[in-house]
Amino acid sequence: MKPALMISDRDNVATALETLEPGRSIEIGGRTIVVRESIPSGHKLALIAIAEGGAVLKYGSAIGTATAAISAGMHVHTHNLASSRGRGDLELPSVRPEPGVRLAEPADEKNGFVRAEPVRGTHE
Amino acid sequence: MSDRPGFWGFVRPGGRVGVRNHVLVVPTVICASVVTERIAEVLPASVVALPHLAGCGQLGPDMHLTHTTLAAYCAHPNVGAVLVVALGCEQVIAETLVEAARAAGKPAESIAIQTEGGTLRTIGRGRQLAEQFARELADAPRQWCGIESLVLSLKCGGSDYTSGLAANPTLGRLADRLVDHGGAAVLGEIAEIMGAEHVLAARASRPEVGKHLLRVISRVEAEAMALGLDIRGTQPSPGNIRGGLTTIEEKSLGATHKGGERTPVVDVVPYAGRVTRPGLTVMDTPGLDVESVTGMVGGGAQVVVFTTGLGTPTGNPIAPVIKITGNARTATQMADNLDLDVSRVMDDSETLDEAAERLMSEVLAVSSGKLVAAEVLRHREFAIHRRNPTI
Repeated sequence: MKPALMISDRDNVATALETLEPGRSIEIGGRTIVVRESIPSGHKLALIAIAEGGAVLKYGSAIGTATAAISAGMHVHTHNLASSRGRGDLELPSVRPEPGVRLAEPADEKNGFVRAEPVRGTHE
Repeated sequence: MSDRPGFWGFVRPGGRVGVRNHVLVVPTVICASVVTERIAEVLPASVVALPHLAGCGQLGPDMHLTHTTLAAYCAHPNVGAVLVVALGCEQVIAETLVEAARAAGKPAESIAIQTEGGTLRTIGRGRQLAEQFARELADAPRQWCGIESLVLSLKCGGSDYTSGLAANPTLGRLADRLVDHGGAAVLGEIAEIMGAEHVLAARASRPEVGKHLLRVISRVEAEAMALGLDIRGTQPSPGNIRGGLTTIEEKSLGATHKGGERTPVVDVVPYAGRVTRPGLTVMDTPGLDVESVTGMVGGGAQVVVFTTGLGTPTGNPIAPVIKITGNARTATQMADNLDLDVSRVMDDSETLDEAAERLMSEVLAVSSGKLVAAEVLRHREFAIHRRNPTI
C-alpha cells in the first residue's frame, strides 16, 4: 500500500494511509517529502510550504485556511488549519472561543436557545 | 425477467414499489408511543411500531413537519397496512394518517387510548387488529421490478478518512449506474454539502435547481452563524476529527462523492418531501444521522445505503439500511453492524467499479428480501426533525 495518497494534482496536502514517523522520506506527486513530525493514519501531511492565511487544497478544492505557516512534511490538522464556513463566532468578537471550554450542548443549538452568558468554544 | 437489473418487490396500487411489507403501528403522539411498542412486541418482526417524541405542543412549522413525516410513512411503499394509535386529545389527527394510508391503497384502522379505555384495552385491541393485518399480508406475492423503481437514500455517518476515499466513491458509482437505468437517489444533510456546493450546483439539470440548492445551503449556514457559535464543535464531529478530518469543507467534499460523479441534480425538496424525479434529489435535512435517514425514507426511499468509517449501528423502522465501510479495522471490529466491506479499495486490490458492482448486487438482493444487519439486530431508529422549542 502507498504510504500516503494525494487525491488531486492541485492538492497541497496528502492523506497518510499508515502512521508516518519523522525523518521518513516518501515519494508522492512526483516529489520526495521528508516527514517532519508523527502523522497518524488518516491524517494529512503538507506536500509544499503553505503560508499563514493560504488555502489548503484537498480533492482539488479549498478545505480551509492555514492558521499558521506550514512547511512541507508537517502534520496539517485543527492546530494549523481552520474552516472558513459556518463561523458565527467570528462575526461576534464577544463570544470568541477560548481553549479548553466546552461548547454549548448541541441540543441547545438545535432548539435555538441563546444563552445570556457568553458561549465558549472548544477550539482555538 | 429481462437483462435489465431488477429485484422482487411489492407492487402497490398506483405503481409504487416496496421492498418490504410491514404492518406499521403508528402513534399520533409521544403519549401513545409505548402502547404501539407493546402492541408490536408479541407479533412477527414484520409488524413494526414507530415510536416518536412529537405530535403535540408543537408550533405551526414543526407540527406540519411531524404530520408530513408520519403521513409519508403511512403511505410508504414498504408498508402494507397501517394501524394508527391515538391518545385522543393531541394535535396530530389520526384520521388524516389513516386517509394517507388508504389513499395509497393500504388497509388502515385507528384506535384511541381514551376511547378504548386505557393502556391494557388499547394494547389488546391493537394486537388483534395488527395480527389480522399481518395475516392478510402473509402471502402477498413479490413481483419482478426493474431497478428504475428504486429510490435510494445516500447516507454517510461516523466518517473517517476512508469514507471519502473508498466507501463514498463506491456509493457514488452505484448512484450513477442507478440513475443511468432510470432510478432515483436522494442526498440529505445540507450542512455536509457546505464547502462542496460548487460540485453539485455544477450538475444541476436546470439553473433554478442549482439556485435553490445554494439558497438552502446559505440558509443553513446563516442559521448556524445567527447563533453566534462556532460550527466546528459539531461539524466535523469529535470522532471525525480524531479520524483525521479537519474542516467541514473537507468532510463535505468527501461526503458529496456519494452523490455520484456525473448524475444530474434534478430537484431540491423539503424534509420528508416526496422524491418524484429520476436523477439525484437533494433533501433539506440536518446532518444528524437518524433525523436525516428518517426524512429521506419519508421522501420515498425504499433502501438506504449508509457508508461509515468508524462504524455505526442505526437502522430505520421500515427501510433496510445497508452499512458499508472502507475501513478494514472497522469491518472486523463492528462486523455485526456491517453489510459490505470495501476496504480493499484502499490498497488498490479492488477497483471502485468492482466495489460498486458488489454493492449493486447487495442492493438488489436486499430489495428482494435479504435482511441487513440493522434489521437482524432490530435497529429501528426514528426521529422527526424539529426546528423550534416545544410549547
